[in-house]
Amino acid sequence: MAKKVVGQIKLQIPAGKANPSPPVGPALGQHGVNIMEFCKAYNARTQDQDGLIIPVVITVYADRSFSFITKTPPAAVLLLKAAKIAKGSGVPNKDKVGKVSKAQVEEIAKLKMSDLNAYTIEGAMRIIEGTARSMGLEVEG
Amino acid sequence: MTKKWLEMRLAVPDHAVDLVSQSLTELGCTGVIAAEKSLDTFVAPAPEKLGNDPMVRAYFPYPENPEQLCRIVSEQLSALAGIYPELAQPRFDYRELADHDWASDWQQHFPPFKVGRRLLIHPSWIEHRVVGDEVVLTLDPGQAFGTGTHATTGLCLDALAELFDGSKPPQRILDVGTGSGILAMAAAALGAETVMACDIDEVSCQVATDNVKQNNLTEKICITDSSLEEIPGSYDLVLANILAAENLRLGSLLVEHLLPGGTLILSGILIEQEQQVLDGFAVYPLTLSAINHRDEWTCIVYRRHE
Repeated sequence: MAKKVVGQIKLQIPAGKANPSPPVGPALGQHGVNIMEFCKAYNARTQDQDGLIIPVVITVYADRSFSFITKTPPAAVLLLKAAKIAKGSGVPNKDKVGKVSKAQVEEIAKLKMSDLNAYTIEGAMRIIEGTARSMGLEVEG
Repeated sequence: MTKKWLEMRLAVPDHAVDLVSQSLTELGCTGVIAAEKSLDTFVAPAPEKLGNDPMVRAYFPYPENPEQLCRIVSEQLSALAGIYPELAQPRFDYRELADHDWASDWQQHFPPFKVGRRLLIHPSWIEHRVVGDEVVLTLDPGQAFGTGTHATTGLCLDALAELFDGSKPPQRILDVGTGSGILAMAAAALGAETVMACDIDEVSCQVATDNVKQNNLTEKICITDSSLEEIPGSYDLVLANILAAENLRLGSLLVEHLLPGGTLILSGILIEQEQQVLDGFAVYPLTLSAINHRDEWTCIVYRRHE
């Protein structure tokens, strides 16, 4: 079909819990997008990531049809989850607030690989380790 | 009491939006609009390249004490200053947002519509009783182009309706780039014997398959993700509601799939590209039957020489 693109919208919504309330309702409603169809598809795609905020980019076409992609959860969020703490350090160079293992970093790097600017898993791990340190997390091993 | 929402606009550095969103969720935030961009293009920018807006919008069920929520949000954001120093002194404002029937409000954009003399297309939430020799299709908008509201689709539907009202309606049809399957279904419903509908987009194929099932047309319509090269056979009618460049690129294949005397409908062409497409197709054994315009779009109908 001759698809003409009229807009893109990025939302941050809880995995598996999209519903017509804000932000989904006002964001998609004004473009006349089938909100229930979006919610159903988003929830189906993210249902196994409960508790995480999954970024989603929706592309809206001229006839109000749409497509969307979900991104991987943010590295910082995955690191906090791995370290089992609620927030990072206010003074990351001085106060360490938690620890993550090399294996956890590798797991996150693998998950984030598609969104990171890295060609190898080692490169992706270095990026994740950098994020961990900037949050006041120690990387063990 | 009517439910209300609180819309908070926050200045958040681009790279901090993910973590801020997660953090606000812990305070009851139902989600964030991180970016909203109007576009007018045929080439969708890569979704992963869409940057966040300088001010993002976060939503909360309206609290009893909005000032208190603001204080807590401010503290929560400041706590992230160790990672993102820009958040040391958070900047935000808020407004009240009345509740609204977002779940069904968008439906007003999709009223039932009539095509030609007999065909009526309506969404599933509107009941319709068939009158006389009317042919009815049910189609809900979704994740595939072809809701019927766009001029390119409308022009094709009109051309189809005219052919089926004619003395020799087409029987074997090929729909190239079927999207939601709307044109394939319209052809089948109007009386075609078989329709081959292809799309290289996997999601479109799934959506089209579901729509065909919903309209009980599985016996007549075959949906495939095969490319045009791989599709066998010759057809009385070939429909190509794709873009001008794609029509030109696939020109010889479109004509090869056409039986002598068959009809070719080309759509998805901007009026300014019309001459270019006419020039490109001048090399094929075709006679121009009609050119129709709607909005900024053109639809060209050819007949293959006998």
